Amino acid sequence: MNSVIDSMMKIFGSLGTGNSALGLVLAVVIAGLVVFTIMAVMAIVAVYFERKVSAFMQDRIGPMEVGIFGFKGGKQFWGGIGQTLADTVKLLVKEDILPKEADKKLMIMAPFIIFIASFLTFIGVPLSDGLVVSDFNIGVFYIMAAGSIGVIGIILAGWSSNNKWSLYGALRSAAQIISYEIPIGLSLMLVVIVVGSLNFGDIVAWQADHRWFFIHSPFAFIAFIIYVIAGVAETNRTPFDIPEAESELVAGWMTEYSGFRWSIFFMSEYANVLIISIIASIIFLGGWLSPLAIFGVHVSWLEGPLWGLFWIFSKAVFFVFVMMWFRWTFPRLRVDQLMYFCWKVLIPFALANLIFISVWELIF
Amino acid sequence: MGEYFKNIYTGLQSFIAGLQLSLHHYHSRKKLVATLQYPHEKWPVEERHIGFDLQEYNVVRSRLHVDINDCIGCNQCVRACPVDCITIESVKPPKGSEFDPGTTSNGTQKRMLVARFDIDLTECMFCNLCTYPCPEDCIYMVGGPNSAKHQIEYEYSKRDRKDLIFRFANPSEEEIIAAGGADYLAKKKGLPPPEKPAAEPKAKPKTAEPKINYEPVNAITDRMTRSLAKKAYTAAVRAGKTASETAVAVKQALEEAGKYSSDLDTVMESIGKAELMTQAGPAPEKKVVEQPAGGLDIKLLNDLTDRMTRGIAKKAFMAATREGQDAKAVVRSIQTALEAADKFTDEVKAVLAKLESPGEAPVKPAAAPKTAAPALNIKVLNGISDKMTRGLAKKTFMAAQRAGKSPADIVTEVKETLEDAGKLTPEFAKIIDSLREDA
Repeated sequence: MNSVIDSMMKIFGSLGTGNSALGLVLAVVIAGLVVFTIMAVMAIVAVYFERKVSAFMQDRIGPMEVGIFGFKGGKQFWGGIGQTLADTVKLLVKEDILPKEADKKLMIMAPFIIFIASFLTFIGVPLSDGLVVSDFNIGVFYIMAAGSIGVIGIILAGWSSNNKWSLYGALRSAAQIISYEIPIGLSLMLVVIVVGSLNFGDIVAWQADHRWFFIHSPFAFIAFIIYVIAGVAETNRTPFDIPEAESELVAGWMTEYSGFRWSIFFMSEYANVLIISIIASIIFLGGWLSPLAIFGVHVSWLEGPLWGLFWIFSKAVFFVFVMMWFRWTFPRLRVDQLMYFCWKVLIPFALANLIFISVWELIF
Repeated sequence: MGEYFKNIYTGLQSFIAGLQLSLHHYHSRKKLVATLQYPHEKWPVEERHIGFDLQEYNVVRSRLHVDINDCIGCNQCVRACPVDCITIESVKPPKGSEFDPGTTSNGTQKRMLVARFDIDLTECMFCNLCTYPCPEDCIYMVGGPNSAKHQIEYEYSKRDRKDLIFRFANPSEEEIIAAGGADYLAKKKGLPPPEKPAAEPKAKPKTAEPKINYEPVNAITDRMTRSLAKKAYTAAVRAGKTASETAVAVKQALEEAGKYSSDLDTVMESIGKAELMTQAGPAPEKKVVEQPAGGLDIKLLNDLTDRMTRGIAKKAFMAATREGQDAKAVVRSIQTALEAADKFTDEVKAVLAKLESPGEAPVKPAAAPKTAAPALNIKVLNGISDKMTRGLAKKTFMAAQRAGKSPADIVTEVKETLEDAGKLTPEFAKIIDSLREDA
């Protein structure tokens, strides 16, 4: 399989620059900019989407007044499409406050660590057949590892703010993320056991040859549910948002942040949501495969890299919607409930799943 | 162990039930959304049930409203308003104009066109005081007892503060011009007053109101002193004093103000000898507006090229003619005004010379008052003590004078009318006779 970096290097090589180091730097910069753009656009679109979805679920209509160049979107329900753009501008020009007693170096560094974690994760995530910045053999493992870096940034942010709410939030976040990495890892391991590869391309190829994982077996379906639930917890979203917990901790580890730095937190959060959704759709829902393939129908013009991009994003958007749906349905879990749910429900089920799937694989 | 799985089962059940509920709300948003997009949509005002009929309630103070078709422009509400939030400007059609401002719903004939009726509701304090003096009941608070006239309006919020100035009168420009308000319109737009077309003669000559002759007082050079003197002079003349008495009164007033000096002796002398009243005689074929006082033509000033100069000159001209100064005095006052503004150039000099002695020489300044009938001073009639009789006498006097009758005829006519009314006593007859002696 080709990665984007490889293809770009090839193109630069064929242009006859001859200098492979320069070509590499250029390719990395271009890929980085594209990934950054995806993250930023995702944050802007998702915030609007989230506000609308939450409003509809609560019998409201959400933002309706702000448009772009006078175009507000729909009249009745989907108006106000310029709202998040205006909010972004507001956030970026806001005063940047560092508390006097804060550990300033760490406090400035923390948002960038969190941002880098989600940025690095994006590098290993394929967006279509061959459309991946860098194609790892161990893609699943890499994403688990890179995603875990973020918790360091959260702890730094909570510690350096010199604020009790921030520290509480950071501690809770660390406990939560480390706990929920386990069910995620176990449910992904189920897929790895079946496919026998950590490469995303191989996993999707296996699903194309056999069937999509969420209908592969009852155990794979349970693993899919566990992954989605633990994924929501990984992104610190309601009902697992005890690190933020507005009603208890003001804003958790983000309490002392404002303006640009806070917007980086925000961008990373929505990038994480997108990453969790894309991985769910790659591993359990056939990635860039057309949904018609489930029924054995293969339409040739519905396949190819661009269609793959379309399918993968449709599936990801569905998952993003599901996560919003969760958020605006369930109340926040208590800390002990959160730990109970992870250690006493999700992990035993995931472990049992692993055993049963191994037996399943031996039988079938 | 059984409870553990039971808990998971109930957890899953409530999980799905919760998701179903929120998805139901998401899907049926068109039915369920409760938000009212406020500035774009508004709740209808509910009928109120406050325990008694609204009609019995004294007043609901929600907003002032004016039925402008009923407004006669009497300004009573403007006077009543404690915060001065009402502004009325009205245009009175000139005498003889064909323009009909219409009648109110009470059947009152309107005398003028209300060109502007603004209520600044940002300033209004809802005291309701303006509604009581209105003779036509055309200004009122909407709703409550007036709900038959205008529906109640609780909320009239606007995007711009300026929109809270409610402009009730909105006559078209044609209407204002038809009502003779061309000057008003021009002033409103900040333009110089339009020149009246010469081809349109005045329907009636101006009535021959006696004018006070200010010439002797204008000889005083000091501005402060002059205005003081003029004030005293006017008061004295209005009181019907003779020339010498007037001179004494003026002198006294100036002495009291510490402004009198021996230089003014000559002025006082001239006051003592002067004719106090000039009669702007009713010369029927004369165009009064175009040939004011000294018979000067303001249009000659249009020859001045500089805009500023022209403005100042015209202003001075108008001020001087309004005071009834003769041609020389007018030219002099224009000159002083221009010199004060440092605008007096050779060009201006030439124009002023032309103004003073125009080539066509229309009417000699002094000729106008002389050719007219000798002035009769209506103020003499103020000596009549009975109010009714005085009114009748004055009315007859004015009617006769307007008809251009000679002084002798006027006196006899007044006497006859009073006799017919059975009001003529020997005492009053004497007073009426003195009309002629005074002139």
